[in-house]
Amino acid sequence: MSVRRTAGGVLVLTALAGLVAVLRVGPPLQPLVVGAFLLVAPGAALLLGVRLESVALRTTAVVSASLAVDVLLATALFYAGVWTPLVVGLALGALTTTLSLAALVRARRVTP
Amino acid sequence: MTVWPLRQRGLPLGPWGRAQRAPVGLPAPAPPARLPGSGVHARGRDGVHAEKWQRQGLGRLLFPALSALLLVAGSGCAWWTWTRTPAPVPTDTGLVAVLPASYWAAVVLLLLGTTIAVWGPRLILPLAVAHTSALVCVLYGVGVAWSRYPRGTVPWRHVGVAAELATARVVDGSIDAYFSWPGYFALLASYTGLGGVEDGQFLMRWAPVANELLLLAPLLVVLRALTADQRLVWSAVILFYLANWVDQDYLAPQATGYFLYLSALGLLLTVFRPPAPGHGFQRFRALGRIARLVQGSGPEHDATPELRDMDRARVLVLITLVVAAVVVAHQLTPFAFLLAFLVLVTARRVPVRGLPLVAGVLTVGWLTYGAAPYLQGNLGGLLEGLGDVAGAAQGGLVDRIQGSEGHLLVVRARLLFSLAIWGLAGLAVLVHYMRGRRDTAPVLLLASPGLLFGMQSYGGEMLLRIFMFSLPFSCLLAVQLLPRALAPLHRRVAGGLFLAVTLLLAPSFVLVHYGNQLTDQRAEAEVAAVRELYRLAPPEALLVAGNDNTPWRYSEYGQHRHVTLERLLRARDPQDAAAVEEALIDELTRQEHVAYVLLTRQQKEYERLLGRRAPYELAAVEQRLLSSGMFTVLMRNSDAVILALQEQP
Repeated sequence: MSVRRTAGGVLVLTALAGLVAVLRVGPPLQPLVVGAFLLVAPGAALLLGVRLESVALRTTAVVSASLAVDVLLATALFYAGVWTPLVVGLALGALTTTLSLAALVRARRVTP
Repeated sequence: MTVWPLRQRGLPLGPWGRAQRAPVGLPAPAPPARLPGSGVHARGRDGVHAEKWQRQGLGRLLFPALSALLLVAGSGCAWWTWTRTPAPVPTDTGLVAVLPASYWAAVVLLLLGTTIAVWGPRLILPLAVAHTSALVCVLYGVGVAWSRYPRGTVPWRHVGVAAELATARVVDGSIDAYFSWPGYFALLASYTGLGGVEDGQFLMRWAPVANELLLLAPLLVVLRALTADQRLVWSAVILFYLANWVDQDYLAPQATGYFLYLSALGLLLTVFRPPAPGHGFQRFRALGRIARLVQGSGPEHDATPELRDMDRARVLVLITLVVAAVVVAHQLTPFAFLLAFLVLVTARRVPVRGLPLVAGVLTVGWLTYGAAPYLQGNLGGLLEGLGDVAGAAQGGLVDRIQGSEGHLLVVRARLLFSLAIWGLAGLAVLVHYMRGRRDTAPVLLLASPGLLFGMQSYGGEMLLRIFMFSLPFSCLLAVQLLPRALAPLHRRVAGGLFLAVTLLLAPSFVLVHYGNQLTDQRAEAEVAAVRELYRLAPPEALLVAGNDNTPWRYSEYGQHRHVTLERLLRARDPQDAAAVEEALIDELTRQEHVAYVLLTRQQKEYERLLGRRAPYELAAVEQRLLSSGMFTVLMRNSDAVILALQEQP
């Protein structure tokens, strides 16, 4: 999958997760979309441009990276005394958005 | 990976690795194509002869269609069982004796379909994935199907820890050990907050199935890094799911830690190519020989040639992040990481020599910072257990061999089951050595968790955790005893053996995995009693349960003092129900805050099934408390009673 498509997908998922969380859509949609975001988006954004051909390898890398980022960020926010679900969501959203946009800009420079 | 003996080069192998010559009068078979440096002769993507009849249209469709049909039939049987059959009442041997015939039909159909998908003329990848997923749902979803409440008591506690973090919004390491490794609970609190999950029971119920399904990808990655034979990879995966009885897949840090452990190992072994055997020891011939002996023959081909150096660097950063996440989330898994990295680097199987140091620094760093509150109060006990192999054996083995007759059967079955898996792996290592195959990575990864034994008894669970960490590699070694599928006959023999073994393992798995279902399964009245307890209890109340088999602490975790009868009265050491009554009345009278006692049928079943640790019977204690005239019954239902001292502060 191309970097642009993946980055685009990550941005869409991030936006959707933000929307359902802010609007408090409720189950089953809210936990499903937020769960998908937490499991996929941070890792996918972090690994944009890394060419892992095997589906199993890509899935493993993306999900493990996502979980690692989620755990570390949430823990750091607790120790900093600023944790709320909203702050976690904003921080993760900002991180995935920044990484995705940076990858898109890089991709655009390589292939104008 | 196979080391190809020189004299047999160019000749096809029979099922046991011996060269086969063409019959007289017939031309010798052409030397098969060979994956560069892999040591494996591969004719197709799945390493199998393409049979002539396969090229005909009907042949190509028959086996996939059959496997798909069996998938549908097996899934249908399972669905029918769950929706039509009333919940069976477990016996002392758990669910194995009471599951209906339709459940076993589902298991048999799915195993048959899996065997066809994996050991048929061609490995059918989508069907292998589908069958494996269906099998996981059937094997691990039994608890979900038969109870509206989650199995066990520990997941309830974990929901409570996450809720406590979400309420307090700071980490207070003085509460208990969970708050010294808060990473997983921070994630759980974030998810429930963002996802609008108010009732954690859905998460608790489905966590085992979700966690087991999540393991599929990293299992494939790890096993594919250790063998190029895809049939063996999938066989090992199926064997893993049939052998993973240790029940550490519930909503818990260790389940996520295990996923991250396999993921990091898989990425490390796949992305980072090992140095050539004996590399770096050119000047010292003797050392070079020893290095080659230990290192063996790893895969010489680059499994990820498409990756640039920058990509590999990013993967290394990812692995470091994964290790860091595990360090803040779980006590034991960082040590499993450390040992695995150490053996892989020492055996020069991975070139990333700094990784054990990084893992060590992160682990020690967290112990001195985040886990400092826990260590301050428990360092003496931890050091006392260090190197105490006898103590670990006592807690992990001897103490478990007690209880009712049915439970003893389950315990012995667990021991035999585990020994059988390890025994098969050991036999495979021996056979490999005799054949001259010297890939040491699976053996090292199988053995490295064993070094955890003697570090600590870990509440009597260390052996379980060692079995779990070593299981993927045990399974890979075990399936390598199957004949190599280099000809149709050998493939059929291997497939038949695989089917026979899995059909034997499936009921054994249900026996050992669900053997404690009688005490793991929660009842409506029991849960209602716990809910009532929290409704009654004011802040800072003392809550006393008969024993640990209580689904509590999911709420108001830090607001009350939760303690079992045994722990509350430990200093007094009562020897019978009368002494318990006297000690309890005295203890509760001294309390500054109000206290409640919760006694349930499930607590009594627990002490009967697993064997009483305390010298008194809970049923006798309940009788004495009720007849003492000192207690008020605040609530009573078919499964539980809540008592409070009449003269409360």
